[in-house]
Amino acid sequence: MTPPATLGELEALVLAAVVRVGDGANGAAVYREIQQRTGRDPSLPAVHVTLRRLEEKGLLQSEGGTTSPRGGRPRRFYRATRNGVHAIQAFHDMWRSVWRGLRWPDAESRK
Amino acid sequence: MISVPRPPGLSRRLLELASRSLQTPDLVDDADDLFAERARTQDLRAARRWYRRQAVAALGRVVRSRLPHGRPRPSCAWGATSLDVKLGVRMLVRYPGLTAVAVIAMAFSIFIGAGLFEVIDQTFPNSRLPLPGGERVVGLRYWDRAANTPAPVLLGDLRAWRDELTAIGSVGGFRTVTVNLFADDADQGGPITTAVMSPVGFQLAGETPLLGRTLAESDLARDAPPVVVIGFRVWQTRFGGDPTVVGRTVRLDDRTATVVGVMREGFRFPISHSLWIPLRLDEAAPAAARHAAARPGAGTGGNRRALDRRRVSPRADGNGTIAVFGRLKDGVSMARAQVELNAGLTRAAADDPERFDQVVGEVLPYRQALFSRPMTLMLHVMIYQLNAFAALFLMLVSANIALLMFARAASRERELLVRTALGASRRRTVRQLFVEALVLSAIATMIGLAAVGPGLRWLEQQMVAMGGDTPPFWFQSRLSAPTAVYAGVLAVLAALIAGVVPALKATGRIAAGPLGRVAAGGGGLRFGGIWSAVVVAQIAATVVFAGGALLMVQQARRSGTVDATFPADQYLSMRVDLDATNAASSGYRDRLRQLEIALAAEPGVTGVTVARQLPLTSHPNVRVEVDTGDGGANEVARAEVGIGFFDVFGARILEGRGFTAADEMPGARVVVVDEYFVESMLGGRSAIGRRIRQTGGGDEPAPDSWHTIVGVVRSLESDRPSAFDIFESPRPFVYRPLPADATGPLRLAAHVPAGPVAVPARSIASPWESARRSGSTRCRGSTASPPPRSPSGVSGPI
Repeated sequence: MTPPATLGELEALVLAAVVRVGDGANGAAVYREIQQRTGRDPSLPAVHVTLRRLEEKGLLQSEGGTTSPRGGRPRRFYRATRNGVHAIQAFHDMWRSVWRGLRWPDAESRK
Repeated sequence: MISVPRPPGLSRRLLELASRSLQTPDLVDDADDLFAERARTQDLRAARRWYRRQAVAALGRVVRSRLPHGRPRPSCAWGATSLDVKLGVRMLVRYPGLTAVAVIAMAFSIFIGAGLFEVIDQTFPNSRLPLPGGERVVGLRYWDRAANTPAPVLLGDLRAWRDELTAIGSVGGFRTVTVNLFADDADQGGPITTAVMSPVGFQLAGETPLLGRTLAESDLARDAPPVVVIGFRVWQTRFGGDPTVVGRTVRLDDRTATVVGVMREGFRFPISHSLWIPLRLDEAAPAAARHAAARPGAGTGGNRRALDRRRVSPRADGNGTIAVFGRLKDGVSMARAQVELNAGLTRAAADDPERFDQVVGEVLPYRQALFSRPMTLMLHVMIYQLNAFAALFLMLVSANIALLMFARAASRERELLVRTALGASRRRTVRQLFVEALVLSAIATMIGLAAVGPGLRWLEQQMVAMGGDTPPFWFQSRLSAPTAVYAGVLAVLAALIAGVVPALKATGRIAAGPLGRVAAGGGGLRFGGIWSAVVVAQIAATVVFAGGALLMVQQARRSGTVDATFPADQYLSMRVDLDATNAASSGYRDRLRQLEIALAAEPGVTGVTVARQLPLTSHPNVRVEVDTGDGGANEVARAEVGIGFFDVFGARILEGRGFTAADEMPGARVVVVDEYFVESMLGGRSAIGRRIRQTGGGDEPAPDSWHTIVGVVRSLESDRPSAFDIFESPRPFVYRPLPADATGPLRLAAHVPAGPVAVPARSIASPWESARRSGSTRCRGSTASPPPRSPSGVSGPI
């Protein structure tokens, strides 16, 4: 089995958001999810570029969907591939192991 | 009325460009959605700010994606420092007068140059179609090699292409018709450019409706109820933006149809259409389609033979011709599609050799297929001459600014000297002055470009207001990326002329002479040969431009604002066209006479007359000579008019007589001339009994036979002198009697002393309606100046 792909922070956020949104995960929905979860305001182009990059890496899969109520072209909807799920799990495990047992220097000094 | 907030136009355009570059096709739609959401939940200004931020972020992404990884970003590609830019801005502030003049002049010339470029770029048949995958959308047509025109494509051909062609998908067709839409019983109607189109056209255009649905294949069934899809503008103007319009029954000419959908704003596919009704492949064209006019895209070539032989083969079947579109399938080249089309045509030629004898099939980019002429090298050259004109104009303006810049450099001589003394090379100083000019031209370019979009929108509104058609869907009143690049090139060109030339001149003397002598004040900078040449060139150009502008004004005035000697606002005019499928209708004049009688019986109408050309409209110009023996020939305007023409328009007979019934008969070679003819051709001598003949121009082979002048009338166009009439006198007229068997299109004019509003719309429409139902004529509004909403679209004051 190939080792899970390494992810950057935004890639991890986007991938996690795609998994969370589930059906209907298009660019706008992913953007909203990240904004709500993190309180940050990522740029929409960055989200789109990341979605494309994750798809190129084989961590996401997209398919044409329906149009929005406002009309326009049909949007692409994304879902995580098996590799994508592995990658986000590996990312999660990595950070969990980083945090586990970590003592902050200022906390030490306050003791 | 539904009002949808719009994202900032420029930001949206930038996002579109960035989206293409970043290969993120949903970016713009998502941004639009989020913008609408924010505008709804927050306030509109915040939403717009957010949208602009996204556009800037997207541009940043594009720039980053283009830079090589791990390389520091240069402060400026051509080596200038931010200090140069800062100095440039400071100079603009320090010399506000010069800045204002230079920016305004340069912005105007860049606006002209970029605007022309945009119009040409969008009109050019080879440029990209603004549809999803627009470069793969093609048109299919026949080309008659003998006539060098498009040959008719019939419904049978469309059926065959749909079945045969594997290289092209979404094959469909359309024809353009003009339909009178009546929204309800109280509606007075109005003509609307309508596409009788295959439903697949909506898929090809990749557009979804704003309300309801588009046309569907089920609408093509024989027993399917008649349906219509309406355009955004029609929905807004004729239905007041009624959100419940879907399902309403409307009248299209004399038939009813149900509105099934409303298209989004700006959707005008296949050309500039505002209504869409289904094109059925298994039956003759619907009644409205019988009026298919020979207009671009209607596919009516000159080859009527094929129509007459429509029963020869199953392929040559269908009433009226159509234009055909399709999309190349993925991985298929146009050449392969052409090969397939040729193979089909070879088989068709075996069935119907006579029809396809001189005909070749063509697969062309969509817009090119709608052009009736191939783009020749000469046409390319002519189109780009316009660009060259704009560039020359900019160069002239830049040369003027260069003069001002040189004057400024002269006043900065001491500063330049100090720089040189401190070790600045000549190159460094020139670069700085160039950057100063570049800052100026960059500001001017931004202003000029910002005006292009509104300028094009204004142009579009003027075209529509003057009675012209809405521009085709591919003409978009906004700035395209190539135009922005072109404007950038113009800006650099302007900066080179306005910055580098004076800089070289100013620094040349400083570099050449000993510093001490120059600093001691050896006379300062002087105008030399270059500036003398610039001054001479600008004076020459000013004279040429002023002369050209005066001639254009003269021309425009003559063509558009001729004053009348009769009360033009008391006249209604109507054009009566022949049915396109019944061009040889022999009863045309009889029916026209019935219409004359019906109209004359209307209360308020004091006179009705018929003519091929009405006063104040365009007339053929012909060269005529008089039998005075001096051999001279002059150009005059020619009109063919009915017997009562002069009475109805109140043109007083000054000498001789007007036309009588006998003059309408074949062989009666008589004419009536107006007073200006007598003045210009006969020097005021008596015209009665003189003979004239046409020696060229118009639509007749020259020379024509002699015609005798039987009368002189007062001119119908003004003799009032005007400030513009310094070159030309009023145009002389020759009137010929309209032959009794004349065919259309002819025009009717009715004199209504109380004004056109005194005649109820229905009373004007009814005579036309009855004639139209009989299928031999159709009516169109006056081309001169239709009222804002002419009654039933058939009439308007002259």
